[in-house]
Amino acid sequence: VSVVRVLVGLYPAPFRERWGPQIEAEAEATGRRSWVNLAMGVVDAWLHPAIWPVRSRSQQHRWVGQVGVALGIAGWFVVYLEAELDDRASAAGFRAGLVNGFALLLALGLFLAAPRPRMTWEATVTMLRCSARLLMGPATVGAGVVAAVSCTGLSETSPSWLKLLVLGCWWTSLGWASVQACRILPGLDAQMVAEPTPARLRVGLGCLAAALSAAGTMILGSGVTGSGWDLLSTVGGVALIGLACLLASMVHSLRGGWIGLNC
Amino acid sequence: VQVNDSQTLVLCVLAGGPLHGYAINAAIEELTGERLGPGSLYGALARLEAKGLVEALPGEGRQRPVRLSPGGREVLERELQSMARVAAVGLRQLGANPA
Repeated sequence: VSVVRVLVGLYPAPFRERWGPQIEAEAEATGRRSWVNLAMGVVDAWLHPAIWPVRSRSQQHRWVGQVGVALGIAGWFVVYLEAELDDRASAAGFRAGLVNGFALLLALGLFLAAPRPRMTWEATVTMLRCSARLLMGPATVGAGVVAAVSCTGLSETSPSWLKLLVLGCWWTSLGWASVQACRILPGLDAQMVAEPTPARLRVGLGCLAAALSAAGTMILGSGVTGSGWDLLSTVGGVALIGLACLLASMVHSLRGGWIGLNC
Repeated sequence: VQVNDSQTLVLCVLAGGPLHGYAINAAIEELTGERLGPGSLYGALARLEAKGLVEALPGEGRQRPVRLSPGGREVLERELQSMARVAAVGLRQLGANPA
């Protein structure tokens, strides 16, 4: 299997179906010089579902909602990671307030932007089955970590390699759960999912963008103005603001505000 | 106004008639001396198609030619006139010959 074929295979399915053979032919003709550009094209395509070839507007709204949800969950992961790893005493109160306020706005955004399973017995059962199958692995790892900590009584005096191992497993389970959660709705048949209405989608993506930009600004602010420059907060804040900008650009494209050639 | 913007370049070469992806890139290479990477080229084509500025013609095997839509022609003309105005002013101020 060639590198080009693997990279083309990473494009979103609708994009691949429409342009895949042509991209592959072009990239094979250019050779390895095209690999970086191709990889950037894959990321660009995933981050801009509004440009995927669509059969209908409602299909586009479903994809935009799904990518919005994935970006929102990625933002939640960054905020949670930041709140857990930032051990500066000055950040403790700020951390609790940030996580609570952020979680509320994020939950509202996810609720509004996410496509929902149709209210039928078949759709509900299929979604529950799909969720259980996808979340089984990370839930098992997470539960294993909790059980290990409560049984062995992990404490400050425990060996550092053990603490690192437990922490690594915990974060792996959270990251894995985030990825799997994003795969639940795309795994369902299109007839079982109701896409969000345009207005609901815009408000939902707006809430997600507001939550991520507020959290990003506060984290970035605390990283550069606190007791000294903090690399983790700076990187986390910039990443969150980047995600918020992507969500805002999705709202912009939904409004049809991108007819110019510069977007 | 960005003369090297990939979407502008694609629209420019399509102004001469329908082309498929490989031929579009060959025409861009002739125009600018450089080919676009496959990610940039098909990202630009997907955006232009989503905006309704280009439209696909029935396919020929793996290659599906695209052509400018009436809206694409309008947007391209507006963009090029804007570039031409900027270029004319810049060249005049430099005292250079527009030719």
